[in-house]
Amino acid sequence: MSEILSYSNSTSKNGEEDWIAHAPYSDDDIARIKDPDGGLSENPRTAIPSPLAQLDLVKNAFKQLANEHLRGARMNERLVSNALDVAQLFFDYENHKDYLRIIRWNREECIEQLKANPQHRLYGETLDLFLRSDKVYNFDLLKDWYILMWDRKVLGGTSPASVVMAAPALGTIDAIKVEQGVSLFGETRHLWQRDEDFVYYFYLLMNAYPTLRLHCGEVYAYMQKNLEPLRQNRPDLYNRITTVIPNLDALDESRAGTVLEQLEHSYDPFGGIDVSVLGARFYHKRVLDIRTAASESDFVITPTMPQDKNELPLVLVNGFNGSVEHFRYIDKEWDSATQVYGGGIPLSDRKLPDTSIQYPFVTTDDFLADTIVRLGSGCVIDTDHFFDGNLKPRTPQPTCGYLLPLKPLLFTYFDTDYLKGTIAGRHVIDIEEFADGSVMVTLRIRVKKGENRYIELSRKYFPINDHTWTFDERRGTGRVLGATMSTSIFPFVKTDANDDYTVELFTMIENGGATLRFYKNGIKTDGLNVRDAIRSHSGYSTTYYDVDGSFDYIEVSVQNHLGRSGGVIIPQWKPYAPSAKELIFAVDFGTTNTHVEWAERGQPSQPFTFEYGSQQVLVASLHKPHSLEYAEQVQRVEFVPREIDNVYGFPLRSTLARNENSGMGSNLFSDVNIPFLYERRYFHGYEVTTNLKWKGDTELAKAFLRELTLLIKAKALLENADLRRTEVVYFYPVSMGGADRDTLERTWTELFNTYIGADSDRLRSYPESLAPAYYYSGAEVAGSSYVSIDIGGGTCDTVIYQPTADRMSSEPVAISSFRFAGNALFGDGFTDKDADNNPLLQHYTRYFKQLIENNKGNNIAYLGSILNDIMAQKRSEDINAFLFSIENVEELRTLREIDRNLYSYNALLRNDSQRRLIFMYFYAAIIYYIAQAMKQRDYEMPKQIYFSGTGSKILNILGSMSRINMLTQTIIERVYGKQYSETFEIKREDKCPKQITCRGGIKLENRRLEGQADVTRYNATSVKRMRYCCSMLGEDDLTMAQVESIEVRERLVEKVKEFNRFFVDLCDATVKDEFGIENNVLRLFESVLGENLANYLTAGINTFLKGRYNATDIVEDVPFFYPIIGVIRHNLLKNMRNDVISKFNQ
Amino acid sequence: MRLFLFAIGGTGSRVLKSLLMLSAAGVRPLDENGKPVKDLEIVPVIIDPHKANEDLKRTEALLNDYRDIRRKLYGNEPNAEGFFANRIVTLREIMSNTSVTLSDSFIFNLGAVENAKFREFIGFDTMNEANQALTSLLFANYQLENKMNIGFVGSPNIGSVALNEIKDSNEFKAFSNIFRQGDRIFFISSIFGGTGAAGFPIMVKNIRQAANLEGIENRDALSRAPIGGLTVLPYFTLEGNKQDQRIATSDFIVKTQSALYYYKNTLTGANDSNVNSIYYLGDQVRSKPYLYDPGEHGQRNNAHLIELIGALAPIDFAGVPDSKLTDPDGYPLPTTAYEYALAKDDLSLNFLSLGHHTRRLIYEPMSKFHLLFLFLTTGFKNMIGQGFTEDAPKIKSDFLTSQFYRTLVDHFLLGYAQWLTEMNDNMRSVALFKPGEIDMAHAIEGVGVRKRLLGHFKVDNDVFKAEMNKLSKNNPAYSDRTVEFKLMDLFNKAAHNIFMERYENIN
Repeated sequence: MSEILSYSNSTSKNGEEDWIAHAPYSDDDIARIKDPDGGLSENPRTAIPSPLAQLDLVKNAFKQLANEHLRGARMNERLVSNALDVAQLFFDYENHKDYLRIIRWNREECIEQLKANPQHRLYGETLDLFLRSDKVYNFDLLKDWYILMWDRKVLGGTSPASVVMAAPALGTIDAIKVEQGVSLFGETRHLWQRDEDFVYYFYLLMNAYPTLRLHCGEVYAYMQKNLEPLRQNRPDLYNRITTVIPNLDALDESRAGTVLEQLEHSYDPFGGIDVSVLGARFYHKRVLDIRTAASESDFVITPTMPQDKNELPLVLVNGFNGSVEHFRYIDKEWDSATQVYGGGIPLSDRKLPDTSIQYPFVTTDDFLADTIVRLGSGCVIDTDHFFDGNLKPRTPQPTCGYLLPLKPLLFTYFDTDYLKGTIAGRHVIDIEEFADGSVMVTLRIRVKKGENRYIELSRKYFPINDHTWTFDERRGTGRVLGATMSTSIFPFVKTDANDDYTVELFTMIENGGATLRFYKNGIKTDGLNVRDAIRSHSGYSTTYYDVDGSFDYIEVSVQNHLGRSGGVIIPQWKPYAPSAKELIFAVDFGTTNTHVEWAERGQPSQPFTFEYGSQQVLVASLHKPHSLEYAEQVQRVEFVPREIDNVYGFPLRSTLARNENSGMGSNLFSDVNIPFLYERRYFHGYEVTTNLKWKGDTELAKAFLRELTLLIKAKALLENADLRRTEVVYFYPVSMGGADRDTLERTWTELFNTYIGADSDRLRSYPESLAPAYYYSGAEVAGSSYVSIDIGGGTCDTVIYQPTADRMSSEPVAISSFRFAGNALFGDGFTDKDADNNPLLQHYTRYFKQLIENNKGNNIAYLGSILNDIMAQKRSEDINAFLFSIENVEELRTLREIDRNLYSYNALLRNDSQRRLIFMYFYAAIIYYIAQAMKQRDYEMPKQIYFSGTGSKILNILGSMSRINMLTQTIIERVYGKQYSETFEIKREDKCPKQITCRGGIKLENRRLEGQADVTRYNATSVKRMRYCCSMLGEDDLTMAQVESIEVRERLVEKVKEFNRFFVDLCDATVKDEFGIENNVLRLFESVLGENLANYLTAGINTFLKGRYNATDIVEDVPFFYPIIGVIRHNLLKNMRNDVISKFNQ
Repeated sequence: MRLFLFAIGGTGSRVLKSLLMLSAAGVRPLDENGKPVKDLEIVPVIIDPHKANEDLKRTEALLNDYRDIRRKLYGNEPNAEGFFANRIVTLREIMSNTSVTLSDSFIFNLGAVENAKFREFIGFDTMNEANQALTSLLFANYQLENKMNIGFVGSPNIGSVALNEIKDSNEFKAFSNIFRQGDRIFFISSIFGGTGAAGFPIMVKNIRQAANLEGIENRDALSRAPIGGLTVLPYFTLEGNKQDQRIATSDFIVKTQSALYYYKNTLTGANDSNVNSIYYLGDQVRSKPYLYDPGEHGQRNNAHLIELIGALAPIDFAGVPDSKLTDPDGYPLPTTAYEYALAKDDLSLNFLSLGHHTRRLIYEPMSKFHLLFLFLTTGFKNMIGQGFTEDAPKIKSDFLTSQFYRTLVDHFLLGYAQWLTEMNDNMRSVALFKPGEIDMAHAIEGVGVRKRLLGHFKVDNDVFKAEMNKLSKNNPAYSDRTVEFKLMDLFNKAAHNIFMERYENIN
């Protein structure tokens, strides 16, 4: 309390009372006024009765703060800080100019404009009144005012009283950053605490223009009080300033020029609008400096991928502790309080957080997806072949895997090797599971700070089963989305040269699905030729991607009822080291079965098998083997099995599987594929096309051969062979017409050129018939006569070898191919799908069905299902082929032979005394024909006959080798009418006769490569010259017209009758006895043998020849056999059975 | 000499009210010789755009009452002694009603401004970009949105523009045209509010820069006019000191300081000595909290010591000799500032708390006026028909129903009693007279009646009646005067005598 009714403490009463006269309050008097509310006031509210009050407030605030502690009323601290913020905006204008403008207010013009308009007159006159009268604000020197505008909002401007000022009552503007982490008007900061360049500039500015120091003394007084904290806390900056201005207290006008020079040297003046106060020019930071500073940040990304842009983004993340890590952001250390959000703004449009610098940066949301896909149904990632993101499961063993939740942008900076690797001893990526079902993903991005320095981006994902959920970058947590899916890559080998892949996408996602995109490191799919097509679409779905070129990772897009999400799959490609190995592959594409063999050049051939392992493999699936059984099964059925061995492997049926009820497309994998499980495993939902070779559907045959080619290529790559020096040998039946052969050749050439290499010299073809001889040929036959007979399903191919003139070696002289082979016994004769009327099958399918049904121990019930499926197709040859294959199924292989024979169709037929005669008849027909043909041309009697081909298994049914030898020898001797003077021998391969063609082919090719075989005579022309279809009528060749003539047909029937008689004669007592043929059987046989021969011939001509030949064309078949086919199918098989035989007996 | 008294804002009105009470008591400006200043006319002009202001309304009513009462007592005679001595007139009266456009009210008309927002007032929306930008740099958005009829709440910088309209008004023109050399100008305003803080400097600037004004006579006299100002510093507290209130007590000091700097720089400083005298007055002892109500009901604050003391400032200024205000050439001397010192630093003040000079100036007039108040409200009615009332001119019983009597007793003295009570109840408490005490002997706080041989002198209505009878008897002085004058003058003189004889002398 005072007795003076006032606030001033300067007036002492001195005994005076009443009104005491004294000098008006001085600044000191005013300053000493105590505030009973203790400076509670924060919001600047002016009590200054002047329209220009704001200037006074700011000027006074500077004055109030010019004390040792730089402290004052909060209002004043704020006014000063805001004014300095504005100064900094001017200084950093280049950074803000996209959204800030500077408006010039010219005193003379603007006052006149105001006064001239009645609406503004009073205001203009008032401004004018104050501008004229209040000298203390340097209005006498005022010409122009420069005002900073943000959109339509005024932020601040120059001030003739305090150099700069902020507009009144503005709150924090977060959208504008004065410097890193500092929102405009957001916090009160003193000059010494500010951006280094700005502080330096501001001291220089005030000293370069003495007028500023003279007229804005309050501001400079405040600056002087900043010097001490500056010296103590930022000695470098202090020194930098004092280097230019040694004495900051003294007003040295003579030095001003030097300081100005320094100012102009470091900074640029404003162009256009030349911002100035009291005649002193403002300067601003150079653009280059700002961007350079940003690009020199410790946070700059250090990509592994080459970048074409100059400006590399910064890698920023919330909560990063820059002060501990000593990471320099732009011009100071990173402030861990800085919030970082991408906000969905394109990189190039972004402003660095807490600054107004437009410069790209990336953060968590740019690299980590908002959803992580958890692979469902126990799909654990096969880490041998796929990268699992260094999963740290919550259980000792993982129970599921995850797609890597990485966004495409990441791959523009880093290759997959970086992602799979480590940095500073830590994984670049980590995925950790938690007990509550959440997943934490951490990604470490290397940055410029130094080697092994990185920024850690992480995101936690929670299981959220709510379709309304949306990702919120500020919350930052993501969602775990379950999806059952997998992919398989075939082949799993990467050479980066001419790679081709088929990738299967398997999904079991309700109300949704997935798609794949393939990327090469840093290159988009544009560079990859990818075709995709959906195949299966029922409970699960499969899509096949035909990828033409190598890729490094796959982007997956998943859609389900919760929305769309995605992820990345990174294959663990193994290093590929090509060697100079030359491989030879031989492909025997047969009517019923197909076989492939391979060999390293100069080495014997090997089975075409693929083993599964941790390295390069035929096919690798995202899921670990056995972890996703459904996908495994589908993969085996409609794609490629992991392993191809001699159980699920070659030789295999020449078939293609397609989805039931699907269209008739013939694209490999997306429509059809080779069903390795066919006849070996039951699979439903697919139908199988057989008889590809002769069907005339070249597209299907091509698809089949395409898969074979892909397998060959895979094998070559997996063997690290030199693809350019890989040879492929294929065979063609000599009976194949020229047009058909051309088609086959074109197909092979195209496939070879596409997948193996353009050097078609390494693609070789040989007549099917020729190869087997090379398998058998040895020293004992050199220079003698021998015959090679390949009995396939559809054709029988024979080659007759005769000694050369010098008898030093033998050479093929006649090649024939005729449609009398396995199918004559096991097929439907001249019709198709007639199994229901096949007594042989009726008998044996019933037998096998019961056998399978009664079998409890071997888990072969599935065979019953397969049998039913195949029977439903009603093709006798397919059913028979299956019956033959039963004994080789996995479950039965290990049985003792005696037990296994129960399942052996071969053994059953061998013991089928009623039907044995049929097989003998079949066999005899072939030998009879060969002998007749040889005799016709006066060839020497063969010393040996080699058998090959699946059909040669018939020999097993006939009986022991000695008996067959005897039978054969007898037939030849009787045809030739003379006895052998030396031993005659039959050679055959009883376990794998089908393989002989390939093995012989490889042997031949090896010899060719060594220069030991002249294969020129095996070219098409030479072979054509050797073609020899003995008509049995004396002339070598028959034209179509001849075959169709009644006369010829009658003669042919007569020749068949002749053979029948020959055969019946052959079955003399010795033979009957040897072969265990009962009398009544033989009698019945004889009685039915001659029926309908002419009809069968006609049916054969119609079926096999009609439409393929013109009248004058030479028929490249042996119509002699047609009646025999009819006899076997319709006369013999129908009657040679118990009920008929027993009746016949009576 | 005319003293143009610009009472600006709420504080201006309240100080003016105290001045009315002092004038009613007969307190007159004294020259350096202690004589009442001759030929003084006080021309109050209330400047307040806020017509709803209760303080303004109360003061306006009392002013009219005062004028009526004085006219009845003294006609147009400027010099008078006793109650209602100071002549208080309106501009219109001076202009002899020639100017019909002048209002006879004491309220300065800011009519056009009332309902407009500041942005509309200055035509912000039709300015060019540069002028808009500068305006936004100078004024906060909430200020632009301010409506002009609530006293420019807390924003004197708005007031400085709005109030500049005064210079274009007929009233200002009338004032400037009737202003003569020798007249003086005095401003009453608070420094921490809205209107008051703004009006003072803008008026001073316009007066000093009268050369630039249009349609103004006497430019030279005006620009050199002796100007005094009472600058009222904070003395009251507002209830509910919340941040969202635009007049917040916590801002008072900060605002005061910044305004003081501004005054120093532009009104009183060495470079810009635009006022001749400035009276700083405030109290660090804060009033009882006032209800803050800037809205329709208006500010209605209890009377306060500071207003009473403040009213003494123009009285003091009017008595200052010319030589202390202007140099021999008639140009203003550097500003003299004044502060007021109490004799005793009491929280409850009586006449003894005041300084000697003040006591001499107001003790006797105020005490006499208070006794008049007691006399008229307790004893006078019963005296009609006896003694002095029967002397010519007769005071008849119909006097009690006369316009004069009703105005004086029912209006003015009621206002007086209220004023007293308010000051008494306030903080600091002004306890000059005992509230509710009708015993004249004990009515003056701290001042007793003199002792006699046995006990004390008696003072009551009868004593006054006897004294007035004595003074009235055979006194020809009243024969040609009105009954009103006779009553008041008789009482005044009687009171003087009784005062001298019976009360303790504290002067």
